[in-house]
Amino acid sequence: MSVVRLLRLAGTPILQQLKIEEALLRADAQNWLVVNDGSSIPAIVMGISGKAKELIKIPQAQEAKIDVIKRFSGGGTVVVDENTIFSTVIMNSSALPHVECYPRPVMKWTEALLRPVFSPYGNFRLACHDYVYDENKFGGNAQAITKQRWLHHTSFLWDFQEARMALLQHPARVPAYRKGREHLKFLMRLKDIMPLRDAFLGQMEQALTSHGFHLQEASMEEVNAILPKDHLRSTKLIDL
Amino acid sequence: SDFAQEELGDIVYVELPEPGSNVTAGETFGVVESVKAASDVYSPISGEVTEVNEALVDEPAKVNSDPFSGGWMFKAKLSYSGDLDKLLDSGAYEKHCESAGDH
Repeated sequence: MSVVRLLRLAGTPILQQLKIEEALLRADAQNWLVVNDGSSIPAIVMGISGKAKELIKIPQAQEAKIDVIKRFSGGGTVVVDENTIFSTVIMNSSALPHVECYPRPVMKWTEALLRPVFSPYGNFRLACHDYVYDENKFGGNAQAITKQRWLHHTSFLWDFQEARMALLQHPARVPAYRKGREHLKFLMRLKDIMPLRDAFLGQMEQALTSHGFHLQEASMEEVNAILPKDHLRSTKLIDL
Repeated sequence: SDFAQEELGDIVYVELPEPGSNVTAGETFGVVESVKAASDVYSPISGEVTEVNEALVDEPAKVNSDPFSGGWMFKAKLSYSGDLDKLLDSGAYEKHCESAGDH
């Protein structure tokens, strides 16, 4: 039975969370589940290839004084705050020998992992690599893969502020299921269909346990010992 | 490699090393993005980067469509010619991919 180290965070700013994830992926060899109940500092977070001038309404974002971050993983742009719930799985390929260390097999496995968490509440599916109920997105995914180790992280919209979402431009690449809808029309809030926020977090942990993994709680002290180790650091705050 | 580009999916972004920088055999030299994933790319040799394929900035899909020619990523001056002995030729590479597909 493989061990997965469990790091529970609450209100950790997303910039700090991403730096922790990058260190755990690149400077450590263990499997990890990181859950963070909200980012105390709101932020716009772009993927590794994101360009602020193409994705963000810069004058409005500057006026809102919102942090803009470029993260180390792929994928699109999200707006996160205290009502976003984050979960991150970091896995050695050897812990899941039947899951090839490439994006599509990993995403197929994580969809199966989370299906029991979300399907009781509606028609849950993975659509164009987003988590949706019917045609509405409630979670954005991204991945990073290195040396037979992979990371899959998701930001779940428990709730969101429309004014913050409005800081994003309509991107050039959009998923087919969006069907030309405005951003706010194709997002949905998990709080509108799931009963309890706390229960949701526990279910994320249970999902891994159900797949035969043994969760072993980790401390920030352990993580703080990993953070300074030599590793590639790509996550950064962007100056608009 | 051709095998990797097929497994990765449509590549939408390529990050390459700077000319003049050093690469190390088996270590990350850059990143490609596909299917919402940033995947490290590893150097087969050690040496100094002399040129990078700037065309991949605007046309990253060349890695998919032309992996053996137009999708080249960088050229380097070898620091140890023995690195080449560890590489697979096209026949051995095809056999390796076939056995990988069996798993």
